[in-house]
Parts: sequence; structure tokens; C-alpha cells
Amino acid sequence: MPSLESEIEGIIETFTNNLKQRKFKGSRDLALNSVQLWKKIIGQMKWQNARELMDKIKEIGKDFQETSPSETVIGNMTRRMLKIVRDEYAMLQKGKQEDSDLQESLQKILTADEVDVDYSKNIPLLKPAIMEHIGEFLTELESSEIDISAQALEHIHANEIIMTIGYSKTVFAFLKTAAKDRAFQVIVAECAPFYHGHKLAADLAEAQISTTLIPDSAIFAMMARVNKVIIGTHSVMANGGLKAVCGTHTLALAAKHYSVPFVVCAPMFKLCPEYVCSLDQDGFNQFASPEEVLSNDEGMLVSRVNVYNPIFDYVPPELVTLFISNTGGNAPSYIYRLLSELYHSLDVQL
Amino acid sequence: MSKAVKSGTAKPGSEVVKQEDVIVAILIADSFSIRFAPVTDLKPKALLPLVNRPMIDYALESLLLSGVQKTFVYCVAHADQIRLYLRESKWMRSASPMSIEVISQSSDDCRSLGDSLRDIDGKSLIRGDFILMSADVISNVQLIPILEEHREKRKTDKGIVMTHIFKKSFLGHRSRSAEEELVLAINPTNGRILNYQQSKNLKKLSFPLEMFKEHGLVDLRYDLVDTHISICSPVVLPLFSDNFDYQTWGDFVRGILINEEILNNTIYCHQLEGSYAARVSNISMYDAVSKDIIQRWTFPLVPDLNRSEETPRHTLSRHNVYKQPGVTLGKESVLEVDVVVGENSEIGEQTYVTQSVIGKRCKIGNNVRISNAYIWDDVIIEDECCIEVALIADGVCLKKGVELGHGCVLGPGVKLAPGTKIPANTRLMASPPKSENEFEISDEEEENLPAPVSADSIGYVYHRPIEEDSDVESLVDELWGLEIEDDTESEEDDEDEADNDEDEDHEEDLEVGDLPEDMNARSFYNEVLESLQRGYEEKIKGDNLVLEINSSKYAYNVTMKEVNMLVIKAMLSLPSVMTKKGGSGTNDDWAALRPILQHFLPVLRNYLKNNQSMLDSLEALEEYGVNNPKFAKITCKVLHYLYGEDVLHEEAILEWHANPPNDPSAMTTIRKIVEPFITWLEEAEEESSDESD
Repeated sequence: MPSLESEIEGIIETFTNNLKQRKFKGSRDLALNSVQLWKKIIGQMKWQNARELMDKIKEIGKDFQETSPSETVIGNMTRRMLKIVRDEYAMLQKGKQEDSDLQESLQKILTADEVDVDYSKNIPLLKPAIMEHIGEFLTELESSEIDISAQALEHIHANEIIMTIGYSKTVFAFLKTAAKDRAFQVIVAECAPFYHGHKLAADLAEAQISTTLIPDSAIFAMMARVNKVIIGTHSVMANGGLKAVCGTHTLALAAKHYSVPFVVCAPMFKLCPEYVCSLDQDGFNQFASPEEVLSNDEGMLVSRVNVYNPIFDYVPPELVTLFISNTGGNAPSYIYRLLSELYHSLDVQL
Repeated sequence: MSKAVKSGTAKPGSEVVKQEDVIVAILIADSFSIRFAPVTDLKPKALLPLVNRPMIDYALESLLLSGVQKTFVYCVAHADQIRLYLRESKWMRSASPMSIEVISQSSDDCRSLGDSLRDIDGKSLIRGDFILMSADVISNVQLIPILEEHREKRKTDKGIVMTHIFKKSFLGHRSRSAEEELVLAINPTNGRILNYQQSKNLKKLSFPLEMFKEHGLVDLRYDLVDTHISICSPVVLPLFSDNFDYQTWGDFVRGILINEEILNNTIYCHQLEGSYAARVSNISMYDAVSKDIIQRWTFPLVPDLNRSEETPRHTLSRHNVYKQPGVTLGKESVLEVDVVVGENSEIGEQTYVTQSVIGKRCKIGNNVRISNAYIWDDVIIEDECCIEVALIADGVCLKKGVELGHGCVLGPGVKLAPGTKIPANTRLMASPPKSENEFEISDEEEENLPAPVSADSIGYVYHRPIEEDSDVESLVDELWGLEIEDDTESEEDDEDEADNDEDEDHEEDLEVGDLPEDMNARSFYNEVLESLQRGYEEKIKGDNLVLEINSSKYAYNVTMKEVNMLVIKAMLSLPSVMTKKGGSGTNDDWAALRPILQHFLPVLRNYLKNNQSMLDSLEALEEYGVNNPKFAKITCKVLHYLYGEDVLHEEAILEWHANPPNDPSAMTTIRKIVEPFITWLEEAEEESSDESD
């Protein structure tokens, strides 16, 4: 990227290094940071027109994605930025509010052909408009957790037994909000080998919620008495399937067996326009060090055994009952529609 | 957000930042060994590819991920290449949060870690605590917490000079390097290192009694592996400068521990919990570390997360198969498990690859079988080749049907003609070896010039110059590839080791009472060896040598018995030390030893005056013979010679023979060998007594 000023290059380098060092705590933190980064980049970078800006966003966005291929949020945010540029451009171009996306018909989405839109016109008002839009988007991101937990009372009722797995900040906030008004029990599966469930159980107990911690192997046995499964997810794929922490598939199947509602708390930025074509798909899963499963000290064993430690599970959409996003509840089959509002069809392939 | 700002301000280049706040690391880009020869003849070890990425990249990346802000890369061999590489790489870009400065050696005689640290001290670049690491270390350790721990300890212990990082690995772990087996004595309450010994094959170690008296609790650890990462106080560099005999880290630790009471310096040990660190110290470690990277122990330093503008990311698919873009795979070819294939490499049909790394732009033909091989860039392997446990450097070409034995190393540019079969553990290089021992050439035997391994091949067998610790080296060589064998071979190995152990035990028993004396005896031995060597080379008179040896005797406070024994041993080992080459035939050995003994006859006569001293020397002879089977063969000749020169008297020899040996194994070896000489002596005695009657 020799064309970029060194200052921007510095910010980008810092961001990619933070990404490599896993300094971001959770995907909301990552989303917020990356949007703030984009705001800086778009604000400071020199660009003549929307076309040039979009090309640069794509270029930098691809680079980010390559640094951390399994973090779908990064790609989502890049697409969001492109969408914002497109929207603002179209609006200023037409001088009036374009037909809102929400009113577009399925037919129109599928046949939409915007290739003929000429983005090369220089519109001086574009930059402030984009900056303002990004600002709004940031506020939306910041409040997404609160917006989701505000719906908690609609889903959690008195004396219910809720099961969850691992640690999700959104789920924790969701349960905590519900606990203000209602008494219920939570069962937490510990989520080996990372044991994030332990932390959630401790936090919930501290928040005065009656909590039981169980090993993952006990999920099926406990499911019979559970009223609802509420989990967080790493991302939601285009078909409504989940890319969630390893062990979620087991949980989902157990819930299906007992017909327990399987509710997923996922803010909109986790919606990803990519499909899972094969479980071997590059960048879908991530494999961590086997250390957590088998200690590297174990002399002979390490040399003779292959240990795999995947981080994510794929949960097919038919196992999911409901998505709770910051805009409300949606069925998995509706995800494609939300996606078409969030991202432009031309940006799906970065 | 705040984090981003923080690391933004800490950006290097702005020299305003206080020196103490900047986290500094020194990376030594040389390992001062020739374990990788002949591959390292033209390319520095730090730039050798490890799973398709130069080794130094891993070290720099781990420093960067730890949050180090400034790194000094100290280069010795091929400094220009490392400098050029770093200048072109992403590491030197101004936007990088870690700034890198490359320092080359200021004089040509930098031959060890100690020399390089002395050199760095001379440049006075470092003022605060720093991280010392070797460029061939692969780790995912977060160093900052350890650095803080080091600083925290300083509050209670002012004398702390170093926190060294160890990783726990039980016996049989592939990343335990046979060369670096060590035993540590640690105070478990605070992690202070109380004693450090390299164990190699020893079965018996001695520890000073004071250690146990002083510290209520002592942990003796044999399960630790040196990671070659240490957190150093600034005083480490001057300490190296003050002590010119500190060459390695081991010397340093020993020195610190010995002078502990005077200087009050202490070294602490940090044990890694759940993170990975290992050093590529030799080829079998290269193998082990590559496997660890492929199996993701080094996460996040794994091929599918490492990328730069020059090298695209590897994609990861099932069974740890990593591929860079542009890889073509022929029909029915299989990449089984733990395979890495570099950019634009082509693999033919029905080829089978497992547990191997293939570099960039390689062309691999049909029906090739590759397992446990490390193939670097631009290698051409034609149809029906078979490669098992091998390291193949850049630009090698294997024609149709070449077969490589276990543990082969092919240097860059080697070409092998169709159907060549290379025996196991061979090292080949592309140019005929430069004669390192000059006399071979002066013998004007031109036919003796090494021939390529087969007609139309470019490949010459490489013989490494034998080092002092040659036995360890050969052990390591043999070890490479053993893991995949079944138990039969390792049993053999065990037996070998057991034998060695016995020998060394024996030596220990005799030589040392407790530790301080042991140290003295050893240093005395080294001094004597030096004196003798110089004495022989410069033809110094015997009297002067005796004077010299006596002064050493007083300096190290060794007993007369030890003097007798050690002088003899030193003389016997002189030929091998001087030629740096163990003689092969019996005659050669004797031919080499004889003039030496002849020269030192006055010295010997001086020491071997009475019966007891002669017995001592015979004991030493025996011991030396047991430890050096080669020498054992010529024991008889040595005895005969010494008897003939009236250095050893008949009575002494017979008395020695009458007493049982200290080491039972000597009965079968040395005693058997000298049997004819003894009988001859006895007969001679009888005859003479007959005559006198």
C-alpha cells in the first residue's frame, strides 16, 4: 500500500498487530475497534470519489481478513463500510431519500443490477455524510448489547430452567437483565477444553442467579428438564447456520431431541453473508494449540498422537429456533433478508 | 481503543521514550555450531526455511507478539544476507510497532554466545533489562509477564542477574535434544537456580552438600528443557565482558553459581505453563519443531496465520494439510497427514506425501513417495523417487528413481543421476569438499580427490570436521529419524547409552570426590593438556614442562595421585586432540602416539619415580583404555614401550596386573589385550631368575 500515507499505514499496522495478539475481547470489541479504525482511515485518507474509496476499502479489508481469516466480523464491517458509502452516494446523487431497502421486494433484490451506477463523480458532501453515517452505526454497535438484553423478559419466564454453554457477554447481559425481575435457574455447560463456562458460572453466581455448572458430557442428561437453551454465537452464516464455540452442535442436537427451544443471541454485526459449503472450508474453523487438550510435557504421547483442537462448531439452521438480534427476534429462514439489508450484493465477495 | 492509542505512542523511532520503558530484546542470529552443515555453508541458519518461513521470522514474530518494542539482531556468519533479508522484509517497515536494528560483529573472532555478548557490551546499546533469545528459537511465550516477574524479584533480591526460561518435557519427548540434557537444582519456593549441570549420558551427578544445608528445600529437575530465552538484567553484559572464559550460557551460569558468595548474583528459573518454546539446535530438533508447528503447538505461529505481502497465507484443511495458493495436485496423489506444500508447487500423479514439508515452486513427478522429508524451494523430484526422512535444500534435482536412505541431508544444488541410491545418514553437497586437513592434499594423491556419489551426479559426500564432543554429535545424527522406527533400534540405542554411562560413572568415581575437587581436577587436566600440547609443538624441554605442570598442580590443589593419572591421560589423548581426528587404524594411533611419548619421556620419568606412582599411571592407562576402545588396541604397545624405556618397572606392572581392576569391564578388555605382554614379562622374569640361579 505505498499510496497510503504513513500515518494510516501505522494505524493499520497497529490494528493488525492487536488482531494477531488477540487483544480484542470478544467480537463486539473487535467490531467497535474496526469501525473506529475505518472511521479514521476514511477520514484521513485522500480520495477523489466513491469508486476510489471503495476500492481502497476493499484492498485494506482483504488484508485484514487475511490476517485473521476466521474472524468474520472483520469482513462484515468492511462490507458495512462499503454499503454505507454506496447508500450515501446514492442518496446524494439522487438528492432525495432512495426507496428504503426494507421496501424492496425479493424480486428486486435478486434482479438488482447496479453495475451501471457510476461512482466516479466527485461529490464534496459525500465525506461528511459518510462520517455521520459511520457515527450512527457506531452508536448502534455500542448499544447492541443493551438492545438485545432489553428483550430478555419476553423470553425468560419465572422458574424456568435455562441452559447455556461457554461464555458469551451478550448472554450474560441477557440473563442478568432478566434476573432483575424474575427468578430462574441457569445450567452452564463448561465447554471443554477452554472452560469458558467456568467464568460464566462464576459471574452468574455473583449476580445472584441460581447457577449449576455441568461437564459437557452431561448436556444430554440435563436437557430433559431444561425449558430453553440460550446461547451466543461467533457468527451467523448466510443460511442461518451458526459458527459457534465447539460443543454447540451437541447442545443443539440434544435440544432438538427434547424439542427445547434453541435461542441464539446475535447482534446484527455477526450476520455474515458467507455460506458454509464444506466443513473444510478455509477460514471457517480455526484450530488452536493442542496444549489445552494434551499437555506438551507428555513425552512419548505427543510424538505419536495427532491432537486436533478446533475452536468452532457449525450448527445447521434447522436446529435453531430463534435469533434475537438488536432489532428483534427472527427465524433462521429470515436471515437472508436481513443480510440483503445490511450488505450490498456486490460486496459479498470482497 | 485505549490500547491502540497506547501502542501507538509507544511506537519506536520516537526516541523521546525513556529507555527503561522500552522493552528491548537481543536476538543472536547465529548458533555457533555446524550442526546444519553443509546446508549452512552459503546461507545463514537464521534464514533457513522452517515450514516454508525463514527461522528468524518466527523469533521476530514471537517477540512482536510479546510486545517487545526494540530488537537488536546480532549477526555473525553471513551478516550481509540477514541484513538484506530484514531490510526487504516487513519487519523493517517504519509502521512496524517493533523497531529492529541489525548489528554485525565488530571483529572476526566472534565464536560463541559469550563473544557476541561481549561485543554488544562494547557497543553500550543496552541500559535496562532485556530479553536474550537465539534466532532459532520458536516460541509463543508471552515474555512481558516474565519480565515483570523478573523485576518484581529484584525488589526482594538485588543480585538477580537473569531469569532463564525452561519448558517441562518428560523423557522421550521429541523436543528434548540429546545434546542439551540438563539437571537443575532449584529452590522451589522462589525458583532460584542452585546448581546446573549438563547431564548428557551421565548416570551419576554430584551436588555440593552446602546447597542442601543452605536451602531447606531443593528440587532436582531432570524434566526441564532449556528454551534459550532469558530475561537479563543489564549487568549480564558486563559480567560476560569481565569473564573472558564465559563462552556459553552454561559457562555463565556455572560462573555465577561459583562466585555466588563473592558477588551475590543469582539466577532464577521460570517454568513455562501451557506455552511452547523450543530451539532448532540440530537437524533432529528441526524435525521435531517442524512437526510441532504443523501440529499447531506453536499456535498462533502456524502456517495458516503467518502471512506477509511476499508470502501468501497457507490454507488449512483436514489432517493438518496446509497449502499455499497455486498448488497443483495430480490425479490419485495423496497428501496424507501433516503436510505443507508451498506456493506454485506441482505434485504429479499417484504420488504419496505424508508428514513432510514441500517448499515453493517444487516439481514432484509421478509415483513419488515422500515421508518425513523437508524439501525446500525449487526442488525437482522426478518420477518414482523414494524419500524417507531427509532434508533437501534449495534447488536440488533428483532424477528418475533416486532413492534416499534415512536421515540424508542434501545441500543446495545437488543433482543426482537416475537410479542413484544414497545410503542412510549421508550428507551431500554440490561442490567437492574443500580439504580442511592440508596434509591430505600435500600427499599429492590426486586420485584421492573425492568423486561424486555416482556418474553424472553433482553431489559429494560431506565429512564434518570432528569436534571435541564428537560422540554426542554422532548420537544426534543417528537419532534423526529414529522416532518412526520401532523399538528395536531404540533398544540398541539404550544399550549404547548404558555402556557409555558405565564408563562415565567409572571415571567419576575415580576422579572426583565431591564437586569442588572435580572442578579442580578437570581444570587441571585441561591446563596440563594445553601445556603438553604446546610443549610438544614447540619442543619445550621436559624440565620446563614439569615446572609448568607443578605450578598448575598447586594452582588447582590436586593430589599427587591425580597428577600422575591426569598427566598420563593427557598424554594419551594428545594425538586425538592435536589432529582433531580420531585415528582409524591401530598403526596410525601408535605412530602418532609414539613420538609424543618419546618427547615426554623426561616428564614421565620425573613423575613416575616410585612404585605407587607407577601403579597410578597404570590405573590411568587402564581407565583411558576402557573409555577409548581405539586406544585399548594399542595398550600393549604403549606398555611395552614404557617398559622398554624403563619408565614403568616390571614389578609395578605385575603388581598392577595381580590386583583386580576397579572397573570389572576392564577385565575383559584391557586385561585381555595386555595378556600376551604380561606372560612375556613373566617368562622373562623366570628366565632371568633361572639365569641368576
